Amino acid sequence: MLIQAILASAWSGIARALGNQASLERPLICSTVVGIIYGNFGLGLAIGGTLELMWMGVEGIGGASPADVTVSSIFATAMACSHGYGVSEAVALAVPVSLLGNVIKQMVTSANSFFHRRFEALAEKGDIDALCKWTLWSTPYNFAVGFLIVFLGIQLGSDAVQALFESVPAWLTTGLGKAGGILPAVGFAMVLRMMYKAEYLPFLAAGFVLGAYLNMPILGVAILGAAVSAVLFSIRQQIKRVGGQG
Amino acid sequence: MSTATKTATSKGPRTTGKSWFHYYLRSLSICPCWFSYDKMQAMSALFTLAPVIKANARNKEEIIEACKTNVQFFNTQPFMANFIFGLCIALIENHESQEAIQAIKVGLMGPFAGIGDSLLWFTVRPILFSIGAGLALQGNAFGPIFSLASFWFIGQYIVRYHGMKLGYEQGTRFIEEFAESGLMEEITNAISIVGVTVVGALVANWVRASSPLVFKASAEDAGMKLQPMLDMLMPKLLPALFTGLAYWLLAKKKVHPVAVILIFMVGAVVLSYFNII
Repeated sequence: MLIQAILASAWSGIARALGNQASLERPLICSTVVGIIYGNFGLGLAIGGTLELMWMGVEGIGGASPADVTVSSIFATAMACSHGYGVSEAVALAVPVSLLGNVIKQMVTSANSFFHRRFEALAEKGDIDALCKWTLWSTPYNFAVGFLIVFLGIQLGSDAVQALFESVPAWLTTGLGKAGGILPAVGFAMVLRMMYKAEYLPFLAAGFVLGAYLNMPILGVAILGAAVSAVLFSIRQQIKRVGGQG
Repeated sequence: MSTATKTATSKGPRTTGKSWFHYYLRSLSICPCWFSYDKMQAMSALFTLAPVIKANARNKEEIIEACKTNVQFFNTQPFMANFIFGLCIALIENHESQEAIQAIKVGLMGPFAGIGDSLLWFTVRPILFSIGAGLALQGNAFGPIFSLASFWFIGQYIVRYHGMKLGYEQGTRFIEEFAESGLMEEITNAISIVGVTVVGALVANWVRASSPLVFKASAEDAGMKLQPMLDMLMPKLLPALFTGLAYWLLAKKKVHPVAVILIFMVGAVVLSYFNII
């Protein structure tokens, strides 16, 4: 059990050290990897898929993120795999943990200001090699932070989580299962909030019809959408060239 | 600044093919690095440009000047940053003043963050990761691999690796023209159309909500089931309504995303308790 906890924490460290640029910190990747670590690939995939859709529009920008999706998906998947829970319990666990994880993340970000005082002093001396060395040192530092958050979480929280779920009545488990099915709606709404404009309504409706009435898989819809979008793009460029209102 | 537009008249050593991969690797330091609220990605700008700064500095003062300006606040979308870094490499090789370089860095980081956030973080990545998540939910192990491989190809190879070269080769004038031409807006528009279409299908495919409700006139009555009636009205009506509700709460009522998730969780448990969903 300890070795799995160490490996899951190490993944949290790697995801943190590389940051969002590598996308290894997304729930889909984290939960799948943790599922493999705990020898339950299928459960990891299922939790990862559900959490990914639910957190789809969550992305930290300028240090302001609404939730820590990385720590929460790793922790929830580890708990589900080690205690034998299903997807709905993992989702129910991931939501509060994502808030707690976010508080920790903000504290670390605030604490990092302290290092920058030192970097400014080095810059005054023009010690470029020392500054580069310090930049490299951020990798083990971030790894350690990511590792510790999940490792301590599993060590200190595992028993509490087990005690919590032992007393859960059946109706609540059923309800959480239903919630797991509905929650992707929030993820999709988050993404829509970022890119939706009234003029896109026909495309939203067309995508819905392809999925709901024709049961077309997502990749097929994406390709069809890209084809329509490409045609519209070239028409607009054409209009611009001949001096329309563009 | 206008003197920087022609990189062909550079005085310093030219960046060659092999160096690009080296600079690309150095640019990976951009996040999270020593990410803090007051400096954000500052250190990675210095780290990425350090070999160029050292190779082109004519005296110790220039290195000090470069260090001092490059530890200042810097923040943009991590992939789009490489356009700016590429441009900075060209400017340093031209021995532009640090003030001029800093002015360009600061001037471009905002617009580039805007483009990168809306295009890459909120459109391209959600599309690719939702396709992977859909595959994962069907138990397909290629789901996560598909998402990562496709997003790395676009983000790391096309935008980052080639973006750096583009910034270097085309110079400030190209980037300013590109930003002003409205082409970027057109591309964002085109990709958003794909994104919105995909979200429409995702709602139909992956929001699972149905009602077991049965209306009975009396105890002996077989009753009328609600869900088949809803299906005849429109398939996936409840998923569409739930998504609409979430959008209304997030976009119109400005409710915090995690609060919306909590509302939906509690709501689902309550509705399920009373056998409504």
